[in-house]
Amino acid sequence: MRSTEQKMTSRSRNIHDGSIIFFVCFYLYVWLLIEPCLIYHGFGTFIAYPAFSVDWEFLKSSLSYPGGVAEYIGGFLSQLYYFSWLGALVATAVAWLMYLAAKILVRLSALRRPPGYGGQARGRLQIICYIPAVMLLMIHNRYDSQLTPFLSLLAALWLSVVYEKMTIRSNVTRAAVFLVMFALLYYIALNASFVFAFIVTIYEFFAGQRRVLKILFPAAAISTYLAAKYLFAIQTKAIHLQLLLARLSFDPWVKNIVICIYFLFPLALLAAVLWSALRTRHTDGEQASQQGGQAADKSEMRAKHKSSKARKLRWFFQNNKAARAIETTLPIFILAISIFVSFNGTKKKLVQVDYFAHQEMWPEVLQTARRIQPKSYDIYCIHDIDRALYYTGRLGDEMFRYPQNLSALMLTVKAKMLSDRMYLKVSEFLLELGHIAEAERSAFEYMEIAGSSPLVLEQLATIKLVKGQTEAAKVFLRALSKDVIFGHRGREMLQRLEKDPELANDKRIQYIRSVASNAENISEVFGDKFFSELLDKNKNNKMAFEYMMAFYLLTGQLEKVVANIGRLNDLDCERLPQYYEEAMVIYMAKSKKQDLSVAGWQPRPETIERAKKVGGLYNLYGGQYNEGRIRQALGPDFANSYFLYYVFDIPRILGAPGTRR
Amino acid sequence: MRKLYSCLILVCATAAVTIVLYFTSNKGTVTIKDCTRVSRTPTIKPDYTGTVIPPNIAPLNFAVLEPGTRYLVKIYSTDGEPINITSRTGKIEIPLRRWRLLLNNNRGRQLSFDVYVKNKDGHRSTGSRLEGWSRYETITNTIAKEDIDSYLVYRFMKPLFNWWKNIGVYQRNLENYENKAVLHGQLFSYGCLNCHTFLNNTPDYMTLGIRSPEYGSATLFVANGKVQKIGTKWTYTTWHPSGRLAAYSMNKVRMFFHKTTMEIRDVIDLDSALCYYLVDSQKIKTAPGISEKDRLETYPTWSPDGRYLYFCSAPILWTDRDEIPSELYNKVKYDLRRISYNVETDEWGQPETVLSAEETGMSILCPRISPDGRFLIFCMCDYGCFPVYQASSDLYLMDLWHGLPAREDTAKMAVPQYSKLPINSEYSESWHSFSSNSRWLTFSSKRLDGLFTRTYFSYIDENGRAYKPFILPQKDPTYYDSLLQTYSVPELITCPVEVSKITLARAVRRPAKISPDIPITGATPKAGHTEDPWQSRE
Repeated sequence: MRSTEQKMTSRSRNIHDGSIIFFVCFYLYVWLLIEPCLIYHGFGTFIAYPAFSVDWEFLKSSLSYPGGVAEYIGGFLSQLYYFSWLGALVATAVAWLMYLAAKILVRLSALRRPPGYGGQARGRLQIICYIPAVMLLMIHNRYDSQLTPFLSLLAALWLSVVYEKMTIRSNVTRAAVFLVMFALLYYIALNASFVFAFIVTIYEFFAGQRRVLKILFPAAAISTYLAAKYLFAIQTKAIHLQLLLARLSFDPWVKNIVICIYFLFPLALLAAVLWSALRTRHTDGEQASQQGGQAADKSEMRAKHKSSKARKLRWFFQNNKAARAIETTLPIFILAISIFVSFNGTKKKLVQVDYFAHQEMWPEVLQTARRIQPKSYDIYCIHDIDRALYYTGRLGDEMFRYPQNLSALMLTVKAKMLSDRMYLKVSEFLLELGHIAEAERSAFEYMEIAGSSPLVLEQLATIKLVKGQTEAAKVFLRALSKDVIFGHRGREMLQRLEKDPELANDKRIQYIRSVASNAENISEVFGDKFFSELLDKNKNNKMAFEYMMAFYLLTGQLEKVVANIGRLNDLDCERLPQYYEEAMVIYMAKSKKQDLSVAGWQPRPETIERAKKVGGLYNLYGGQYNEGRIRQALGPDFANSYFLYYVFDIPRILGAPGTRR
Repeated sequence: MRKLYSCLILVCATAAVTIVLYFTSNKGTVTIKDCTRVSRTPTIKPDYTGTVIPPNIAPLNFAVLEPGTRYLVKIYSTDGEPINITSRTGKIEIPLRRWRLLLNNNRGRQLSFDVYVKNKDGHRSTGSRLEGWSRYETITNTIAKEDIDSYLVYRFMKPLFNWWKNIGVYQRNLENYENKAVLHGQLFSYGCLNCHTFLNNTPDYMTLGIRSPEYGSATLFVANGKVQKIGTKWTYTTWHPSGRLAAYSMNKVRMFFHKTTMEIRDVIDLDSALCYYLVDSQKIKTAPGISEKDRLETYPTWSPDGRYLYFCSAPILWTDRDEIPSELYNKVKYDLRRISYNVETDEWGQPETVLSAEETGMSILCPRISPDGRFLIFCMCDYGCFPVYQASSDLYLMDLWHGLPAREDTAKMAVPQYSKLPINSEYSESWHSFSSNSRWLTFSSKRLDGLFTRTYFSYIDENGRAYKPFILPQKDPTYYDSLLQTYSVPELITCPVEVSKITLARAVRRPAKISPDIPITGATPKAGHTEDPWQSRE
């Protein structure tokens, strides 16, 4: 029969096995399913950009304020997310280190009991060690990383381990060491120092038993907070949220998790320690009565216990095999639950759409968009779908296959509703269209709000190059050159500028210059004037034409669709896109014309027949009130038609955002 | 064993120090005849060639842009030991102490830089003979006799459009590279701060404008270390030399955007007027001559004797003072005016035109007078009120001791002498101010790239001649190459701002202590209220 010690070692090994399995699963999950490269793509678009630059000035600046060290390291490690396997490794390493530190803390803080008494309880308490790792995983599930606060927590945990492992007996020395560590951690990781104080206070209360220190540590933490707030006039949110990347409110999950990062583990540790202390006292009581030599009482007690369901349950948990099985599988179970609860598959797909759009992988944009429930489309997704349709030559034929939204088409929303991401998308879109001034303005707004991410630096450099402001462009390119991942792009462009200052061989720059509007006015209204300015500059601006037509189709301005059909000749189009054709037919019907030919373009007879069919069913079933029946009667052939959109959706589109299908 | 390790560590440390010293030490004197002479000056960045520099300026670190594998620069003047600096990268970082000594000992004399570049196919140097080296023509600068004020206070931010987040006012010690925040918007929820103004180039009296959606618009008034919050926003401010009052403008300013110009931002004052704040009574007053209903008054500046307030004034061309007039924005041109004032009796005279836009054909803005009262420097640009957004903005100098009428009761003066300074560029020059000894002018210029404003200094001699400007020196000579922020509104002060940013931040977050009534009604912003669309984001 194995000794208690052997059982303990065996149980530790099993726990160890459980953690290994946990972290292997963790790594594979993050790498293959979450794909950290998508999170990297989200930096500066979906989530705040973790600033990092490889120059001394940035390092000096980071070292000059509390929390800067954590931000610097977090910023650097975040860059590694560009490579999914490496990002997953970073996340797993951080999670594992937090787990390890937590495990040591539980062991040191919870129980100083002889083996056999604390062993089982200690084993079960290991569960709480997974809390930080699970929270990190949940954040990744939301397509955010928030490495900086987790690094801060990691620093707090390990500094707590160092403190608790010290063998210094003198209270004064321990207090001095604590204060130094506290100050150091405050400098490195700001509010994680309060977590450190909390944890070591728990230790001193339950394990250290040093009365003076129990009071001193929380007093120091509170004093620091009060000093920061009242003496140094640091605002409360700056103290607490300094290390939290901005714009948390976009995902309440992330916001809540990040705020809980600093509290959950210490509170769980406290709860665990209290539970353990109560349990141990109860066990001591039992033991005392047993040691009194009252065997008969003992058997009487046993008998009492054996008679209840709770007794059976207790027996089950005291059974070594069952306990081992639970301790091994429980972490995996927790992992699965946290994934299930926090994972947002729709968000992943939306991020993928954005990612593919940025990479100009247009077919992939559409493939991914088709996997998203239409009701889950946001305006960015719809906008990217429209761009993908344009670039694949299908905007005039398939845009109504997807939910459409007027605001999404041109990204025209009120200023107060603008997100950081909107500014960058607007800038990219308008640059392609040829509206350079608005593209520039949006890019600068983005840079001020969201920081100098490589995306915006490249965008501003491109804009300045289009405008011929080469020296200004070089400033952005040199700044871009300091980026860990995209620095090569900056350096390559600078080299190209040395050889070709006018970028005469750069097709993209030359194209944008050819379509750039030269109408000088201070109107900011999108609409007829906006498009006509662009087409006046270059009648071959296909994007401006197709978006103009899409705008007219979305708003039901049939006469303008018809009036601009002739521009197809400027673009050397060979066929009339489906929606233009259908719009012409509707226009014919409304203006009671028998036939219609515009600049050599006219609708085909079969399209006119289709229109008649729609009109016939519309009248038969009573119009707007029987949309469902009409659609059903028409069948899937008409699902993509402009006829139905015109009849049923235009009133909704013009009134509210989003379209129901 | 321990002793062995200790010895080993000591040996390694000694070796490391020796190696470092070897590579960083100067390598003896240069024998000129062994070098190939290049008959031009080397290209260096920043351009510190042919300038006049203050004797107390921080080292002018620069980078040599000539291709090579090693660089040697010798800096010398008439007296004192030359400074020899070697570099492998071309970046020349001059030691502070020796630089300071050299400049101080050679006031009024020439400062020379001899630059040697080792060619890529050159041989190793042996002893004191340099083989494969080229020597360029000597770069010469002049060390002025007069110091520059030791501190520069400026606004540091990215090129802003509608939103702001990261704005700070900083002070830089011009004698070294120390840089500290006077106040940063982060300390009051990412607010905006601007229009820092000092009395007589000292921080004893200072004002700072604040805009914050959370804490409102206000002015921080610092007097001898005490900070008070005045519940109204002062825009362009000027202290009366007595310190008893400050004149300031109230501007209803709006930003709008062009489509095709290089600088797409533009600014218009839909309405503006001048007021003045009396320090003792804490009252705000105005006068008819500085707040005419049908004119836009702005950019006040006192004459050093306090007898005149100079300002810019333009007729209001529109009736609606809420809408940006799309047709008339480029028709607004400001005159330069002045009005007499008696600080003892608080009485104002009649405004008189010093220089009219009609005569110059341009808009006259930002007058600043040298502390000795001799020179008035102003901007002129094609139109409007915001020269930093106008590439046409250039600096002009007016000699106030010449061209003034003998009688002072005429409404219009004789056309004074003024000239365009030779220190302008094709891009905007603006936001200028003088040092306390009137010899140094600091100003903002976009000459490097047309977008980012940088701070420059130019020596103005007793005759009003302006010498080639030089850029604010930095420890890293390539600092400006990738700097995405602008240095704006430079002001020279003789000693540092002592009041801490914590004290200032606390004052911002408190309710205003002084809430005087504003005597001007109409389209002026209410106290404590942020009206303009330049807003912060959370």
